[in-house]
Amino acid sequence: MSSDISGRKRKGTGGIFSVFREQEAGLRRFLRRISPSSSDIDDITQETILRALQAEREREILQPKAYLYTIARNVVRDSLDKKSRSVIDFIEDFAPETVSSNEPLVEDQVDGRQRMLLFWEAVATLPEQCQQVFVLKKVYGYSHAEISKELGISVSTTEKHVAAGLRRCSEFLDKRSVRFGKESESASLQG
Amino acid sequence: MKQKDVLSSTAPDLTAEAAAWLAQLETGKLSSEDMAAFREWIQRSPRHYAEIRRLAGVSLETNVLAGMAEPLRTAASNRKHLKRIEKPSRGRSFKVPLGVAGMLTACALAVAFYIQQPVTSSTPDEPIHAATEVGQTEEIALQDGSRINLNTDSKLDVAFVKAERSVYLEKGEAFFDVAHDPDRPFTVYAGTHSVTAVGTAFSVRWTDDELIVTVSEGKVVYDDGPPEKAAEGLKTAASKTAKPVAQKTFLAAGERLEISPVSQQEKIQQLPDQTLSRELAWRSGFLDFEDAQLRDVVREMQRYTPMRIEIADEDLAELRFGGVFRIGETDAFFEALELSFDVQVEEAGDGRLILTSAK
Repeated sequence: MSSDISGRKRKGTGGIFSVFREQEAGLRRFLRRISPSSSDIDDITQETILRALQAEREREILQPKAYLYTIARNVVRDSLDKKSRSVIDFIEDFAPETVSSNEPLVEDQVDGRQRMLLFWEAVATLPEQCQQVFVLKKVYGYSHAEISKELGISVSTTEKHVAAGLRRCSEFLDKRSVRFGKESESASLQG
Repeated sequence: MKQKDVLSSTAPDLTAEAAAWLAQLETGKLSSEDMAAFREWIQRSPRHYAEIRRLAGVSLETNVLAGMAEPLRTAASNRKHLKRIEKPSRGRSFKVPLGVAGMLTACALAVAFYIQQPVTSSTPDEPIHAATEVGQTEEIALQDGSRINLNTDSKLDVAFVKAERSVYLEKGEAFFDVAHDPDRPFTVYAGTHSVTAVGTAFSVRWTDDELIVTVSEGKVVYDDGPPEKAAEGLKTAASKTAKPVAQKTFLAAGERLEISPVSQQEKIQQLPDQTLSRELAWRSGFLDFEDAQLRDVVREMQRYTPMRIEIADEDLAELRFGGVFRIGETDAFFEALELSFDVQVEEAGDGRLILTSAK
């Protein structure tokens, strides 16, 4: 990974930071669109450039613009995960003493991209409105209140669709685990 | 497993209840009455706790869908035809409006794609002929429980006899999820090549006289010769007593064999899991690239469109590219090139698409 032999022109001191400066407005628009709930667009933008600078120290970034957007998406993903984990923490406070809490999370067990496509297959089989709700929630990070407003439905209807979407994803996950010969793993998740 | 059986008899109600509670928790506002009701529900039994905890884990996992934002956004504009476009100016790249309507068009397309039912053969042992057009894929369920996914522009025949399950891949690419049956080897023939398994999952690609075999589960034996030998070879492999006979190549899960059309030389590689799942993403109707040279991406994309894609300059061919695209939505690919990678896409008018650097 030596830059000497790449023969590529090093981008002065600016590097990814100058690309960030050029792209900042567009990046903010992009973030606002995929994550309208983020009152903290500033934080996400900040986090994006920090991660990009960090990455640039380790290796040369060939497509800085595309790279910035990828990082921005990951930051949004992380904020979705943070919310999910806080719900998990809340639930785990109710753990019966007989249940061990150190079960592996499902996420460790199947490759990320494969999971994304699997869930996408699941979403594609949902009825129309349910699909709308689930996509707004999971792909674009809308809160339930924002979904209700966007689609003109009640929060309880939104919840109903979210629950249905989740069950469908869960079914697909079970089915796929069995198909890939991982019965033991999927069974252990039921415990 | 015992627990699973117990659950599955009562699961529908419990799962529905748990999902409903979880959705309410995710809304984030619980009144004190709701809170009391939730406490009562989750403490009814350890299974109640376990089920909602499991679903919360699934919910966390589905956040991976955030990665669909970009492919959807590009698909959403849903252009009917690629038009000649001016050099994209700086900063306007991400102005493509994404309304819910556009997004739903994309969803509807996805639904239309997935709704295709697998083709099931009617009578046992009746030969099956299957073919796909450019940009089309198909799933075939065989009477023995095996399944075949047929990729774009492919053609195959299935002929099952007593002692052998044979598939003739005339052209293209297919993935085989083979039902286990040690007495009836499952053999895929492509040209003079053959690949045999007893119960495993693998894909065979036979395009332009180039053979690529990728094994995702179990193992297979590759042979460049008459079929009987291949079947014998597998028995040898299974018993693990004799050394593999010359000419036969054994492939294990995660391995890929490539036979060059010119030299006929075999090249075997171990593929990382990520690469493996990316390469087999077409079975779910997607093409998945990560940090690939545009040259290779275009070569792959070419299989799914009747347009002829040409890269005008060498530098551009080496551009590193990544993204997930739906099969049959090649426009989204060209749009991503224009918007995120500063590539100009021009329609030459004679069915050719010329890619040039916009810089």
